[in-house]
Amino acid sequence: MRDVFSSLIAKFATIRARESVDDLVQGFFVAKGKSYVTAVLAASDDAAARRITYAWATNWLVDEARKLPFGALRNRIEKRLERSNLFSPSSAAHHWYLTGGEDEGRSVPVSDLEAAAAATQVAVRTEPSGKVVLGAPGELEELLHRLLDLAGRLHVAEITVICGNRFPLALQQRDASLSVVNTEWEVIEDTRESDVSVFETATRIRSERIAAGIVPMLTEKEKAVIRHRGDMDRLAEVLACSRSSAYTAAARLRERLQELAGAEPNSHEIMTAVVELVLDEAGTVPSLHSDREDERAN
Amino acid sequence: MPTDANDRWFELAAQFAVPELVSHTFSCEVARGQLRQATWANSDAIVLVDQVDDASALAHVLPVSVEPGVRNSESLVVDELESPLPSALAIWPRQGHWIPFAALDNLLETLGPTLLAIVETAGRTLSEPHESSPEPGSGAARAIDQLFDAVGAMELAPRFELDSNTANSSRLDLDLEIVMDALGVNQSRAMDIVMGSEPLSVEEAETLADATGTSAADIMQAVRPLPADLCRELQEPRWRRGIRRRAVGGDEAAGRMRLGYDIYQLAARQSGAGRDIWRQRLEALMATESD
Repeated sequence: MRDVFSSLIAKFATIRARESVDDLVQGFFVAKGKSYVTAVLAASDDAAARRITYAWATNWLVDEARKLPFGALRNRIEKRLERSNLFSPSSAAHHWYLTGGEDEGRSVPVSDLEAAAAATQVAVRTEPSGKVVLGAPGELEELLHRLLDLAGRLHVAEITVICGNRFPLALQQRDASLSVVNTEWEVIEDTRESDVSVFETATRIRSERIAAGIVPMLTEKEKAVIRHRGDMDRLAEVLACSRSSAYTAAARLRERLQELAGAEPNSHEIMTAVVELVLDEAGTVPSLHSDREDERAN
Repeated sequence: MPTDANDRWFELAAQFAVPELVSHTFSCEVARGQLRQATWANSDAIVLVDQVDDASALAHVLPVSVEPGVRNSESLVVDELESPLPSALAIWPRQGHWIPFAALDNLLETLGPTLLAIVETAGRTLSEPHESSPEPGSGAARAIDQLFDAVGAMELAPRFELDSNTANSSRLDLDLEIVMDALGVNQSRAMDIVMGSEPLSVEEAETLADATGTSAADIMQAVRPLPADLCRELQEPRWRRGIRRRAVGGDEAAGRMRLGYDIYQLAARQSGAGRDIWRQRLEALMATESD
């Protein structure tokens, strides 16, 4: 169980900074213990027990992460973006791009953005008053600049969660108004009700970003299976094979998608996003298709 | 489970008085009202068997969750006191799917007639939503999505099909020694191949064709199809352990065929057919094997 949580919280940097693996395991058992035992005892074999454990633990960690005060951190970052002339608000709501650059998003792997955030020097210290100060003057701007330089434009929620993972201290207290990015700022009203929506928006964008990286890895046959998976007769016709081969092809595709997206906590959303992207490609929404092609080419 | 989870396991066992959930007897056929674990292609779910199409080996199943908080406006909740399992159940009466028996596994418990009647009514009538749905993106909403997705994926498990190779196959007129040399097999397997009671891979058939001058197609044709009663019996979830033991790289369809021919060969000198006889033979074979 410790193994499962140890490997999972690598994907939940904000939680990792707050609680030990043992605390998390205990928290999980308090919340889910009895039913979890039922589910695992019912499992077909060890591999199934492991899958069930990962799924339950991941969903529980997602709930824990959603409780974090992302809303306040988003306000801090948005203010910082507004105050610097390095950044300009995009024509798309809540998005930002580099002043002088193009107001256009690029398909960048999430790992590149996280690596850029990790590589930027930002000093973190806690003042005696309990305030957490993130960065000497200009350091946070440098980080934001690098992110936007890579991605073209970004939703502020995505920036917030990337920063939250980079500086988990900024989310350390439930009252995040204490953690300020620059002590010269006035105190801004905390907006807790938006914590979940920041996290949700960032998760959705992240899934779409990962999905956009997966779609080019699919073969034409795999895309055909996605397009016709609701209609096995049609799928068999398109693939020129028997109905039972069509079922096998659909099962294989599922396994392949799980392989490509499976290591991510939100693998289910990623798979859904992959399916949507492929359906869009089919020509039902040609404009979206060409937009995405352009993004990938950049 | 990782090894160090075992310690945790024993602690838990003491804490929760872990019940014996899974019965390992061979006695239970798939029947309405059963709560079963179902597993296919890395998807796992607990399901309630709602209807059975015995001839086609298909079951109409409803998704079930035992996870606290995993329920929405469409689910019917059986609280812990009423539940046959040691946890409350959420059942989705309107999310049924016809899935092949091949995806079904352990029998966990059986719902009583009263509960079943309630589930049936809930499936037909649109009652007032009594539960609010979890927030989109929350752990519970994700768990529901994953559950529906898993049960949906089980529709893709292999369906019961009778062997299509019904051509009147004749015994291969091949020399036993040549078969043994060409394929590097022992006399017993070579005999089964000549008798047509041992399946061959395409590669093996081609090797044998090269060595004997018989066409590979004729050699493949000579493999006798498994009796229909045996094929049908092999769909029963009770044999899934034996099938898994024979599934190379997780290919259960091949594992099922392997188990079928294992039994078929063992039965070569016995008389009698019919599902009951095949079942007894399978039980006898399973009793000699352990995990």
